[in-house]
Amino acid sequence: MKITMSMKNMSMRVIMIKSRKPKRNLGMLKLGVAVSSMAATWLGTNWLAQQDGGMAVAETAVFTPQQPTNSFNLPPIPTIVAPTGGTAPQQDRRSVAPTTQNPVIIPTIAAPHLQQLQVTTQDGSFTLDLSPIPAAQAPVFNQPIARSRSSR
Amino acid sequence: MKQQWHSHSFRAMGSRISLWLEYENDDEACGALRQTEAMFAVAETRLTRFSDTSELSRLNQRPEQWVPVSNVLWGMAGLAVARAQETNGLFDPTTLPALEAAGYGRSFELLPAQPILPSGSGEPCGGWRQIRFNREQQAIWLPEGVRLDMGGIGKGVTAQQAASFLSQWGACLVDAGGDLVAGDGPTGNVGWPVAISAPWSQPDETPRDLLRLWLRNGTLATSGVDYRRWGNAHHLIDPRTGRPAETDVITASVLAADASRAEAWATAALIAGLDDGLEMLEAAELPAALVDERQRVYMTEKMYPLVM
Repeated sequence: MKITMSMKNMSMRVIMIKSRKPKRNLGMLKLGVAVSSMAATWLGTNWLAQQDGGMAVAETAVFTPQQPTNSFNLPPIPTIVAPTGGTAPQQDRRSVAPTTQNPVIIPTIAAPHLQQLQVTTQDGSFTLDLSPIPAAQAPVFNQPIARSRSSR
Repeated sequence: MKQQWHSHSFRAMGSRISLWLEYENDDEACGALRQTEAMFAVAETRLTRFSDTSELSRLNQRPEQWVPVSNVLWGMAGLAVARAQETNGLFDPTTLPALEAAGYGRSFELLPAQPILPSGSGEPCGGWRQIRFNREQQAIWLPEGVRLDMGGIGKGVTAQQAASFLSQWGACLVDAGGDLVAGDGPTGNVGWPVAISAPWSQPDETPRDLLRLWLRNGTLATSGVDYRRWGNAHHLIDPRTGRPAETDVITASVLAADASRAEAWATAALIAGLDDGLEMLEAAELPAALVDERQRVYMTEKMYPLVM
């Protein structure tokens, strides 16, 4: 079953797994919508709007929960902040106000048990790791932080 | 609010990608870094030549047809051809048949370590001159026998997009397998302290630094024949001969505001060789450093003021 949904500056399709039980379908639909919204956010709404003329790259999105979901005790669907889109940071980075105009909504909608997101596009599929990234120590600026060398 | 440092590394496009971001909020920084990782993943699935289903492969599989393409591939192909023109064809995005003939037909990690007889196609490349673009249809037409390879330029441009994206949050640096793209410098510094490594160092070995400089709002790209070798062949094809380049330059590093420009000129200078390469880079007024097999460094005039 394919569902086409629209968000500001993007559209996408969610592939659902068919089930004989309507309640499961409804649950999968809700989860699919939430997850696909998250996938699109993960792909960077501003970037997508810039790169693909508003069409989301993730034309299909399925997710791989770490915990079994056969009980379908779904977490409440969180409020999804509508992505603003439309800004073009490459043209003038400094004109783009950080975060207030470009909200990062992943932390606000991520279900706690979601650790990975598998994204399938017509080009292929890949898995996104959703685990937190801890803060790093401040670099030491009296030595090189990175080195330019042949591609490796 | 106190600035926090965030760093994240992952593999994409056959390389190790490392990101640095200075921003005060941990959760938002984490989200930005994860989104950047997703950008690389999307670009890789779209631009890789090692998957038959990538958009690039689907374009390459349909010669002599107008193929509508995404904004990403449209922009990337246009940039590649523009850089080929700018470097008079020494940077050539259509060397793929020669590269495969030289043995680089699979992802580098899968190539055999044992020596093979590298030959290349032995035919001059330059097929980019016959590529046609239809702006209204956003479609690309490839002649028979011509296939695009977005290898180096794709990674560099994606790194630049990543840096632009992260710059919305704060100072950032992207290291895409040795190609460095910086946004603004971190608080209290004029830029990011980076170095050009000596060639021949192993991937996990801390290399000797030949030059150090501050990098800010620009790209430092290095092309070399010291890595991505198999047997006695390497991955940089001389488009004039269709064979792995015979050059007295081991690595060429170029600094430019635009990643595709830095990538293309680094490749072109390396293929041209020391004398011609330096002359080209001087004419293009680019800061650059070439390293020969005795690890002697040759810099353009524009490079001197930038070195620490």
